[in-house]
Amino acid sequence: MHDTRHEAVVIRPPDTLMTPERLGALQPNRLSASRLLMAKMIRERWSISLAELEIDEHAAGTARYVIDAAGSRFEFVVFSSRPSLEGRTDRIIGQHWDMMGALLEGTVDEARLARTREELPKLYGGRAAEGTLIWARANRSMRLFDLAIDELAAGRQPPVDVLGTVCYLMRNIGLDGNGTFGTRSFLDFGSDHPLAAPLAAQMLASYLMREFSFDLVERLAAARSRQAVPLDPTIKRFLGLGNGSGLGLLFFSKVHPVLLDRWLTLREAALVRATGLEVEAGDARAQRLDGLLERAITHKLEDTTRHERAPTGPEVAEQLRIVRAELAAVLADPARTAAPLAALRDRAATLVDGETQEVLHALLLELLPEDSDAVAAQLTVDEDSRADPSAPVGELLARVRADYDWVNRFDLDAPGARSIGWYKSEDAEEPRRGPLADLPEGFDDLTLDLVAWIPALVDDLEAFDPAATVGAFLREQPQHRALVERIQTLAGLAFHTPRINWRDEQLFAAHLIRMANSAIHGLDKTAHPEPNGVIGVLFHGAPVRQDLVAGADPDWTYPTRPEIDA
Amino acid sequence: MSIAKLKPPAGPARMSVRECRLIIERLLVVAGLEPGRIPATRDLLVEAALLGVDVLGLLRDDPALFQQAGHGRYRVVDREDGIVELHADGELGAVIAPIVRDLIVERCAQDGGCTVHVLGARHAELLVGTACEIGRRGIAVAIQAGNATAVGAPSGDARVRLAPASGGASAPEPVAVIVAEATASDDGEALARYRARALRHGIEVDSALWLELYTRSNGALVPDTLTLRRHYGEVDDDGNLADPALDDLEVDRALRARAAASPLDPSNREGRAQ
Repeated sequence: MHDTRHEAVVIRPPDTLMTPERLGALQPNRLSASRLLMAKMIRERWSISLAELEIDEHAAGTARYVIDAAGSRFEFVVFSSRPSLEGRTDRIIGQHWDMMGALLEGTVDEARLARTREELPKLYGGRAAEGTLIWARANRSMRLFDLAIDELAAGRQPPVDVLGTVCYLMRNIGLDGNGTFGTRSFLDFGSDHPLAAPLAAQMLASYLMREFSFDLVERLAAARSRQAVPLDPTIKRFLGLGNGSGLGLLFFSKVHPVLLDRWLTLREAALVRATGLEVEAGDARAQRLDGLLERAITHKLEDTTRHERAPTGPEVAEQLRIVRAELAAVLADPARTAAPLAALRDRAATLVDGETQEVLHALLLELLPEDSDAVAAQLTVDEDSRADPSAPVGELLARVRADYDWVNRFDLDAPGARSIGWYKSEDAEEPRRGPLADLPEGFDDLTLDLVAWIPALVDDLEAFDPAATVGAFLREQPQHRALVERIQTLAGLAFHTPRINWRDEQLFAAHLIRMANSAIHGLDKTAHPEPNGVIGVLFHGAPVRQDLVAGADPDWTYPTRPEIDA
Repeated sequence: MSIAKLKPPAGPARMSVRECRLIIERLLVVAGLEPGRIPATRDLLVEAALLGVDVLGLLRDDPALFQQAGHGRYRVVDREDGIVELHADGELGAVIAPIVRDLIVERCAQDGGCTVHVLGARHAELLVGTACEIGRRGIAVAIQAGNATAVGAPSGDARVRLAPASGGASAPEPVAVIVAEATASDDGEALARYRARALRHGIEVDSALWLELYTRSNGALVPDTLTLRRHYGEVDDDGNLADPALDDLEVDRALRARAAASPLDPSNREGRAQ
């Protein structure tokens, strides 16, 4: 397995990258899970067919998709329901979903179908059928979905400017796999599995929910009127799958620090390679980057997403125009000494905000040769503990001082700086954060409270014999074991831990949710309507299933509104 | 669906390693084990379960298993004959397992090998979970613990034999004898095979056992109240969610903008959408 611990790459220091604001600015890019999967599906010309669509005029019924992934077969079974306003919410504590689906390996026989039908509605109390990879659920975007039915039934395409305000017909509510509910464990897939990359199975289920949203809207329009027309493929490509995420993604960063580090390290290393590419004015790379900037500017101009703590799309578009002008200037500058794209990146760092810089970085990655499979293979990490009880205490102390000095930069005496606890509710295990004063005594506090734990550990290490072993230290101070093992496991990695004070009531958690959504999952148009949640769009602009077998265009990102005759 | 209404599915239930970890972790939380000890204890319990020790059955049959666990009254004694003794003073095998693992790794790093005797531990068979973690560090290990015998290969592969229970906390003789030797082996294949087996098969248990442990483990979750519901988002005074349906608001706004832009346009369809 590839280990990046000792790669001699010149990448940004964690002090720069691991702040919540900068992490929140990271954009969807070629290393994002949805992008990696889509590249594979396009390259291998996966075949996806709708094998069954038994849905009545009220949307109740079933659908089944068959996926041929370069010779491997999967099925996605869908149980669709009549929409209900009762119990409907984007929070995981909701009790009604317009569709539930399961992604299974192989052909789904009657026994597995029956088991899925019975167990899937139980969710946390359910047991998935053998060979299940993912359980998924989604809700419609109510007004837009109804509008689309109305228009298609009337023989017209829905208005693109209205579709463009939301960019999806259905919204993912939850994806569960990797051993949850008895689903197959990800590490069991093996490197030859079509979905061997982290989150690939979740992304395939998302893609299939997007496909189902199109088939459902067409089915309901056809049920209403003989004049109904199908949704224009150009519009389908423009529409993605909506997604709402909450605080669970901060727990992801807590529980999977090695994976987070790997993802960010590979991305940063790729960025260094991209900025070192040879580029001349007018050559293919220069034209490619200029074209991408032009497309991104239009995409951002059309982005009506409302932001509180990030620049709006039009604001980013304005700054991208500056970057585009700088590209021309850099390429024409005879006095520059650095590689041109490195010079462009440096100039952007002084001229435009962090959000726009990260758009540029994502575009620079597009210049690298296509090697998505190789990248995906490196994303599978060994998350086993690397605790070393035989190490000297003095060595551990030096490590802590070097790697965790950042915890001392927070003002813990500031009002509210120590007031918050993180927990999971008994109600659908919803991850939450709230004032400690509200929480019951002895609750399972899931806070990663490094800003308090590290100083306490340092105090105890300093009072211990530096020549003694870490094991001896832990026999006397067992309360530090989990922290010490975490520190030793992460030794040598740079990007494992966002630099935040989890207990601070002012922490804007949405920055970190957005990081996971955008950079790791690949969502576009992410917005945070509230501090604890982020919404956005997956597969925005991606080919539809009919495109895949025909040979789809792999250059699908930063889509702009299609021109459609209504 | 309410947990209270759940019925176990027909046939046995297969628990993935991930689920097994989660349920055991939450049971340790419910039992009140010190938070800093939980991850290591959990992982070694899962390893023991994967090696065939009936950890889950034990957790079901003895809900008070972890009460008084983690008291910290253990002593390490270096005997003149070179044997290391760990006096556990009635501590649970699962709780001292990380300490035993540490001792073996430390002594093997220092001396190339060691023999550890564990005295006065309850359920010493839970110590066999250390076999894989020790083996993963390039150490060959043989463990005789309670009614279990484990042999760990340097690569982390491990085998366990279980015999009828004997001995216990009050037994004067060691309840566990562990012989370990550092090796130069860097063979990861057997470990990979073992892990793959565990990941593929997980642990198959009776469905009722799974449901009971799952239900009990949910005791680690925080009970819901109106105040706590509001930690995430708005709810009304009855606890019902006040979902703003932001995308609906955006659609309405766009339709109004359309209407304003061309009020006479027959394609203005705001009224129908509202």
